[in-house]
Amino acid sequence: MSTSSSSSKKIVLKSADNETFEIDEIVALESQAIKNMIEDECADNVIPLGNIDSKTLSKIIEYCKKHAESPKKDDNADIDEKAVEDLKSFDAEFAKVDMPLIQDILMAANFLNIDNLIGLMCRTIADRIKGKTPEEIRKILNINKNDLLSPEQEAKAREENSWAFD
Amino acid sequence: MHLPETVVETILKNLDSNTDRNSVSLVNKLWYTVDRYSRKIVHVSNCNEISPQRVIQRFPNLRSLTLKAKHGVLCDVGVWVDVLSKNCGLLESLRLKRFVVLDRELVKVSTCFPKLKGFGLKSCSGFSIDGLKAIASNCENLEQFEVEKCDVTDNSSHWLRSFPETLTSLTSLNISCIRGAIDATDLERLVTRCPNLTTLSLNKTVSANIISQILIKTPQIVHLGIGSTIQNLEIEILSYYQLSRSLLKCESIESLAFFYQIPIRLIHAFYIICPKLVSVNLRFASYLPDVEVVNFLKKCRKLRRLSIRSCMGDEGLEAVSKSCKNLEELRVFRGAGSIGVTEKGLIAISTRCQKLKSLTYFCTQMTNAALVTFSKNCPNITCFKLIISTPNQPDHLTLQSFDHGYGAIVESCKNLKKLTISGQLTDDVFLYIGMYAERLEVLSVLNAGESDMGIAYVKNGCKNLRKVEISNRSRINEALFLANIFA
Repeated sequence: MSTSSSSSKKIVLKSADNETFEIDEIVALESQAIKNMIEDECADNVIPLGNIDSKTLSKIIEYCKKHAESPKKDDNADIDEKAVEDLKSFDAEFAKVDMPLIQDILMAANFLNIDNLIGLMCRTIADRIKGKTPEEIRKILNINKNDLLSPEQEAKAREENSWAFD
Repeated sequence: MHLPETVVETILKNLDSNTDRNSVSLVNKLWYTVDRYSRKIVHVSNCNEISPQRVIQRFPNLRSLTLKAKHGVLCDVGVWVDVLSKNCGLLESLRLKRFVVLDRELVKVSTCFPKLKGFGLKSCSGFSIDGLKAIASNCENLEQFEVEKCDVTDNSSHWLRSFPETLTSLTSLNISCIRGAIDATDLERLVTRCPNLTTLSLNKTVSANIISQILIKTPQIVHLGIGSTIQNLEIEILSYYQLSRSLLKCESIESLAFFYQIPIRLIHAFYIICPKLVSVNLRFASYLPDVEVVNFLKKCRKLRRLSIRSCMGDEGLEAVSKSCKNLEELRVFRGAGSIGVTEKGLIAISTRCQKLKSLTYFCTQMTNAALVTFSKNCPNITCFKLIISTPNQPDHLTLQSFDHGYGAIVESCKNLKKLTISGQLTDDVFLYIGMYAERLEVLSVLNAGESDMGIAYVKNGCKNLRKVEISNRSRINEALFLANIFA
């Protein structure tokens, strides 16, 4: 699977299910983790990502590609409004996926250290749990139940929350 | 799925509201801990129930604290100020409601929290203008200075000079309840050097002329509160023209509050901004004739939030409902005089204002049929507070209790979080609430009846219930009632 033009340097990413993705180095550099690997010269031709499946990885590459192509805020103060708007609507569309995939992307983005994408996924999750009860939040995020507060802790927290509420 | 701590932190950064913060704190141990160390804004709604030490212990990084004392219960703010000053030097905002606050405590606040940006007192007493002057002069980065519903007088007319010349950061100045003349030059200098000032609420000594001049210097103003009184007709006419001209330049204005006795001619000067207004508060404009209120509101077609007095009557409400179709929050307070609002006004509002999310309704009489109609028309309501003036009054047409009407509300309005019920009730109403009001968080029962048999229904059904308030409860001790609910 190729997502590149032929001129620039290529990086190959390999997903957990052994699918390979050849991408421009500039796209890969959106990931601080990969950037560090390249700078430290520990990156071989192929970077194996044993904890990211191909579905998640292709979404991540889609995101990095778009963001690598867009002008960066800090290197040009007067980038046009349109580019900013364009990126915003790309992000909004990008986040319109189901919760399991959002969490997979978030975990992968966290592993690959892609700040903007972590922020986008966390904002999306926050929006989806707004106004929800603790039980609903656990269900939405499929949070495993082995770290629950003890009944006493929960009762105390609940009671305190009733004064810490406006 | 197990989200790592740093990720949970980033998620919680996007959630500010107390309700959401309270919910996430109960998700599991990790979320509780992350909320605990990252919660910066804390509201304590009843100071008597918690110690300042515990608040600091649970939320060691708090930066903004709002403290409320319960009605009629004296709470010592000195202890809070003491503990905060020792543990919370970085406090950025402190707001107090219903406290006796002494000047020396205000002086301490002003010296112990050099980073204070937000300061607010509401319904507080015990302090004088000297305490406020200490805050004004010592807190150099103040952004909000808001004193509401407090009885305090300045006889010097120059207290505004306490704000240092270097202070330019004010975004909100609410001094409407501070009695005494305000020096026009001091006021003008203060607002002129604060380019980000968006909220300004002044007392009635500030004349319409001065307000006109101030508005010319603050075209960025968003929220304006005024209470100007003028007796002289000629001055009124002059003021009218000046005010209209100044208001024309206020492009950002969207919220307006009138207090006291605003001359009618001056009200007309505000017509020019009516189409921009999103929020109007006429609760304290006690002398404004109802016909003027209605004429004014008819022009506010973008209005989303409105506070008024019930003396405008059902006809007034009907007129408002025809023009203000985007109303999301309506509060109808008890007004003076014999005219009030009834089920007719409620039906009119619910028929045309179907975006309504929050309603407070002081009325003289009600019917179950009207409540049923309301529940069908406004299913998205989250806060419904109905206060019928006569205790224990039944449906005045059928003479039945209101169980059925409130039952319809809780059944249809699935997002209901706050409910205040009054009038004649039986245990059945609690049965309905327990059965349908799944998201209910706060239940207030006014003028409740004699039985507590229904409490078990509420306790079992409303899993999110945090607070129950009961007033005028004759037989059952409130503490016992609460103990039953939260047992």
